[in-house]
Amino acid sequence: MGVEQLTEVLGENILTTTLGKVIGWGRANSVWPAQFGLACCAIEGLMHTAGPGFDIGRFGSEAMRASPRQSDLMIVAGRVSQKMAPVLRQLYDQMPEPKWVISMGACASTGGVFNNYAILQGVDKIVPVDVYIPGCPPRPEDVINALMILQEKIKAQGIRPRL
Amino acid sequence: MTTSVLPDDTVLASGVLAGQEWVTIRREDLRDSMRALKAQGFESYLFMTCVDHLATPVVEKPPERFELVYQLRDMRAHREYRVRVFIPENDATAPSLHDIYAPANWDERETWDMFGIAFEGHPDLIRILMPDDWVGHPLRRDFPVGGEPVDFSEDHETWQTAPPEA
Repeated sequence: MGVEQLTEVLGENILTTTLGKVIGWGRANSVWPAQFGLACCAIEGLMHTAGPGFDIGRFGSEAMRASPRQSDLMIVAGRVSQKMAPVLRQLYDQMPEPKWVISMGACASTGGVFNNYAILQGVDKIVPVDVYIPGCPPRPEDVINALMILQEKIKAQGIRPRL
Repeated sequence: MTTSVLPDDTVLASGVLAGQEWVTIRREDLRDSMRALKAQGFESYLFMTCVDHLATPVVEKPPERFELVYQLRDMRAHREYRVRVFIPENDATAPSLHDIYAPANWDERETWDMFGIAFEGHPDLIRILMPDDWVGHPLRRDFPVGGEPVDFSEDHETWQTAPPEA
């Protein structure tokens, strides 16, 4: 069947695009977060956001995976202690590429009010962060907004590997 | 209600604060006194903690820098009892009570981790909260708070970030 015949059969029902856009579109709409909460932000960022009131499933991210090997987004929800830091890094290393990180709340982003010996002063010291969410804790709308920002970033990334 | 259930010669000081009986005893008498208290019905070991009296704004100056506080409960008589032991700074050791009260095991590890009180006779005195390679004992009052200096804050100039050398 030649291209002319194909055009004849399908008519106007053909879209042309690039592979990167298709892959980015697919990835962005099924981001699977790791079911990984560290502190009170997990209530808002994982449980409340995934509940029926806010329903992060509207954006394709309701499948929180209990294993890092099945997830491609880590929402760092809460303060990271010095002792938890190597564990968090190991979980991140176990996630398959491509993977992204959202730093949720003041504690994960900067240490928050816990400016002391026990707490890591920002999770970006040990993992690369794509989106930061301010707030203590952020509202579920903020988390959904961060996911939408991340989706734009994923779509723009396409098939290019992470730098 | 008597204020002291221990022999008078072991009790350095005693009193009742807000309905709570307490005694201060010597470090050498700690194990014998705890055995005696357990035999008298104080079978429940509630907690043990430590106080660092370095530059504490208290009315009465404490005799030594560190103070161990043991809280016991008599489940039948509905009665609690508090035992205080002062520990000098240059000899920060205390006898372990893990064979008298089993829960003392982890409390002593925590007190070692946070205050650096070495418990003699403890079966496995290692850190319980901080990372294993941590240097120092963070709840001592001469340990820096740590963290990072914050620009434009009041204590930005005097902030101490690094833990002290061991």
